[in-house]
Amino acid sequence: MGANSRPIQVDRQKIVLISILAAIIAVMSFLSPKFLQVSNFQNILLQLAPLIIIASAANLLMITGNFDLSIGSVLAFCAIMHAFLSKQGVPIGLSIVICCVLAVLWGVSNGIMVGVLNVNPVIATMGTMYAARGFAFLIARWDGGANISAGLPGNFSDFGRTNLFGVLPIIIVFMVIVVALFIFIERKTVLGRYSFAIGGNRRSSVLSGINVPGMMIVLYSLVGLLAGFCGVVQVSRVGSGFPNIAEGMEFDVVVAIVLGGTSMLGGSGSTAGMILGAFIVGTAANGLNLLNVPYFYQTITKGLLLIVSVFTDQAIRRRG
Amino acid sequence: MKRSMDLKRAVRDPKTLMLTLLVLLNLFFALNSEAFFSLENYFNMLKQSAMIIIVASAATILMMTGNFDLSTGSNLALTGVVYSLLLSSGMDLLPAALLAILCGSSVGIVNGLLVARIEFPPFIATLGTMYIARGLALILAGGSPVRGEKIPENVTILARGDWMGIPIPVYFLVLFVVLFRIVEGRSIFGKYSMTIGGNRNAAFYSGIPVGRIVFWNYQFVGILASFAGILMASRLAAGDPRIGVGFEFDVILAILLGGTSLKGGKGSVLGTLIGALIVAVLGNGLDMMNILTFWQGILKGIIFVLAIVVNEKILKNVGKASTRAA
Amino acid sequence: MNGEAEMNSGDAILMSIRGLSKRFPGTQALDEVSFDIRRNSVHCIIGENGSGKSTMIKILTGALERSGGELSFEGRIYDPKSIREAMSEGVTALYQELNVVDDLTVGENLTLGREKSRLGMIRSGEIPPTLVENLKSLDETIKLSDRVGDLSVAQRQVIEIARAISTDCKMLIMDEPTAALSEEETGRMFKVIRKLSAKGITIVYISHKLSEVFEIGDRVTVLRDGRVVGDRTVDEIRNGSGCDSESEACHELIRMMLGKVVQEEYVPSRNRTEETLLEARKIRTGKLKDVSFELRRGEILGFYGLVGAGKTEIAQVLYGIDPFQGEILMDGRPVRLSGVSKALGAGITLIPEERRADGIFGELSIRENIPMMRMEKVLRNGIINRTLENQLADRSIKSMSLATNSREKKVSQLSGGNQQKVVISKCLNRESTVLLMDEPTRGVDVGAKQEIHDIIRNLANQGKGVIVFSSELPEILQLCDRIVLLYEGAVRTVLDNGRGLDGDRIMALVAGREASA
Repeated sequence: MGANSRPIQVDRQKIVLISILAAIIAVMSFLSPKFLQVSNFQNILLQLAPLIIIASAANLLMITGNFDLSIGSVLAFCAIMHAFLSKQGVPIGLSIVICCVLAVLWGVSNGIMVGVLNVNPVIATMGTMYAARGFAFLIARWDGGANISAGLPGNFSDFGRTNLFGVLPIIIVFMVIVVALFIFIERKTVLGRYSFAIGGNRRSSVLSGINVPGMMIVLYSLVGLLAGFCGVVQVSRVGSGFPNIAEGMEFDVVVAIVLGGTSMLGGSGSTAGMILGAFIVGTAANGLNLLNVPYFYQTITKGLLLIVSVFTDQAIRRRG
Repeated sequence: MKRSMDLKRAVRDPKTLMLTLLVLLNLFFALNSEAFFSLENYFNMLKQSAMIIIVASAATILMMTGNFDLSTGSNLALTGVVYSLLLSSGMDLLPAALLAILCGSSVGIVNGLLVARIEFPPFIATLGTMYIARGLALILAGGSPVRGEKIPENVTILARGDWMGIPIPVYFLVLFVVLFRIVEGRSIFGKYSMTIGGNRNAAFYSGIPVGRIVFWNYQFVGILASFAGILMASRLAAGDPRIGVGFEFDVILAILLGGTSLKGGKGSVLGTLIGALIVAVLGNGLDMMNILTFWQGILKGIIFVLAIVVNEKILKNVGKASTRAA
Repeated sequence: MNGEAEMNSGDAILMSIRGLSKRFPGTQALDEVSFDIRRNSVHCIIGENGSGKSTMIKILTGALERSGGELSFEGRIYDPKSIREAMSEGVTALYQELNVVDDLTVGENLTLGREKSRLGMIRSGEIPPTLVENLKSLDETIKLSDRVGDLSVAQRQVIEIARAISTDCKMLIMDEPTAALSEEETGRMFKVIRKLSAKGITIVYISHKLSEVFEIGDRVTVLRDGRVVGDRTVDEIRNGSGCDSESEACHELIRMMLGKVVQEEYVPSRNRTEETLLEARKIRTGKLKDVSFELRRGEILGFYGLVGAGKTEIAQVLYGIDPFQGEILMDGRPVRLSGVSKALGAGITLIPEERRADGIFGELSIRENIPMMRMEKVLRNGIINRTLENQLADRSIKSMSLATNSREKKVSQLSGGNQQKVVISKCLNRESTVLLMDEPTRGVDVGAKQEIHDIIRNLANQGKGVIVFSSELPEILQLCDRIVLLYEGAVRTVLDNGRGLDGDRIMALVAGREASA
């Protein structure tokens, strides 16, 4: 036993996830001829990209034992802000930068509340959730309507609809970059190591001289930044801004992360697992879609997957 | 000396701050808007927040045990859909309502089993049932609101009717607040719930059936969420499977504003009532002053965090510092 | 009262323990323990940390399963599967961790779990008179309407005792009940214990403090390394040792507890200097009373005192955890220790007492734990370099002689001694000039203990200043060049170690029995 028990345990969990994913793919490709096509996988990726991008940072945050309920609101806020600024004549590039800075500020405020003031993360980020969503509606109102769709500059959608080498949508490129970055952060940087330390034993971390409040601010800022950025890309791709998008996204993020084996109590987890979790939800949803099952069966599937996977995980842990 | 002790305790009690805030908000809006300070408008506010208050009064006791429920909004939608479907199939109001509540309370059973028996983290268990109940509501309704010609017109009486000049939902609101205030303060169930949140070990060694108490708490929240679903369907005269998204947050917000701790161990149904009223008055007052409704969400968030920070971090320490000095 | 109680109750045995054993992976916590607990006596169990006292309580209360041996209670076989089963048999324990609910009143706590009710509603004001009497007879100052959170620790203990004895309790086990109490409160607690004894309840009293044994005990069992090394009546010890004063009887017990001191000899640190490294002037907190001392470069300074004398508090002040009044100087310059990072910055590192809670990252590997306090050591261009990390881990494993077959092993899977070595390596990487070691060998087996002592000596020889806080006198005597004796939060005296230092006299000083020199 002993020596390598940790890697083995992690692998076992990933093997379970990969098997589930393979089973879904096998069943779906058997049931629907459209499933196993390149264009379909591109679809799945397009749908999952924002989720995976945000969940990469949120996963690290959850490893410290904290989470963020304001993800969807911050995303909507930045999306509508980007549309608003662009319509007001701010250059697209500058507007993107401003939105990202604002997104970071939301994250900093979460981080200060949780890390410095020691407010429970549920309370702190729920407050931000309401406030950011409220501002999103307010901005749409400043523009004079319920949403911002008309009067946007002609080049507004260029950014979101860019295809790298003519085939790769920009959001997928970003997804790959962000995922690679966070796998790197998780394994090779002090930020990643300290995240595991804080989630594993907060008191030890404080006594070891780790700047826990600072870590919280950095991690919440990263989550905020990525949420805001996804909002910008999304509004740019769609070509119009709605203040009510991404409602409940924070929950989707939690589902992907928890499915991937990160504990809500913190201390363990991995980006790779989170991606598998996201893909399980994504392919299941896509497959049901192809089979012409109404979209709302996806909601049920998500709930069942969550409960069954946590249940299995608990059962495995108890036995081993 | 005795009086100063009482004063200290009153300052430390989160309800004091919230009640002050509520009174100030009322004063402010009464002075700034003519339409605000009228009986009719107050009934309106109560009607609007009745569902939140009804569910939150049961959920307050649940949160006193240190647990919470994210599935209330989905449960509300599911029950509303089932209720409307039963009505449009020709069933009478009362049996339809009872069957629908039975159906909705199964969400509570699942939550209770997952958290109390299998020891799931409450966040994950109720998140799962939130998705499942929402999905079931959408499937049963076929994705769009259930209207149907057969839904009798008198269905709306529960939500829109009045008796002796007072709207019927207000009676329900008062009934459940009083009921759960008694449960909180006088019953064994309430005291055990508080004990479980305060010191789980002490509860266990004192022979309190921890699992069973938590289970029944989820059960009560489930039943009341279903009942709120019936009210909602009555108001709309339809079952909308998409209604109540974010309802769970409004419930939790009211409870936390009222001074109940997320970790459990203490709480107050009256505090929850005050918390919910603050949100209602704020929204309604801003409406009356013709201030954009969009400020509501923002103010809700800001007041929420500030109130809790002031209560938990500042006022509590005021009391402590002075006792230490003494 | 000792002799009298025993005679009245005859020699009836309430509980008999025969050949009780408990094995944990790697250690034998209890080894063939046999003794009897007599009805209506106050039976003291004493022993050093790690002697098996707490394991024994856990087995007696059903919290832990035994590996071997037999128990009988009131002549019947006693085999509780859970704490509640033990309680229903009449065996209750009063733990150091209190099981009362702060937000309830005294009355509500007393009836918790046994409320009188009608239709689920509590009938207020109906607290059974026996419960009220029990409480009143123990401490009449506690009012039923008081909120428990507002009461003192001693009063909360009384509530728990009142609750315990109302459930037909025949044997009450008290685990160091006076550890967190002041002298005055301790006196009151003894009164409570005498009252309980008068009610016919048998008390099993676990303690560190020897003086208490003579004050309230009828019989005493001494445990050392999981074995019974003495089981006598207190009178026997008094008379049998041929000494007439209590302090001499105390020494007799100490000899039993410690056994023959065959361990390491004290070796003075090689590079002791007179240069002051750290100086504390009149440190005052809620617990500490004007504590002043200095630490010199290259020496090991020991702090010794009973549980609650203020050792941990001093460590917390020096590491910037607790606020304090007074002044601390490093190399002659005053430093502000307002947080852990400030203390680390000033060159002070704490190796904490509670290893599992405060020291290790159990879910991470040895390799990941070791550089935690100074990541710069394993970074190359700001990135964690696996080669550097492996080298550092291997170096530490070698220099600490850490017994493991892989640096990738989770720290939670190591034995106590090896975990402590990981914590020490982690802290040493900080390369501070002052090291605070709070109970460096608590819960560590004998072999590892010696190794850790060698590590500490080495550090002093390298010119660091080491402060050892310990409640084990042999450890202090073997290691430290100078010894600060603490009593009730104040410095009693400072002694130079060396020949002629009398362990018995130290014991007397820290127990508050002898005026300081």
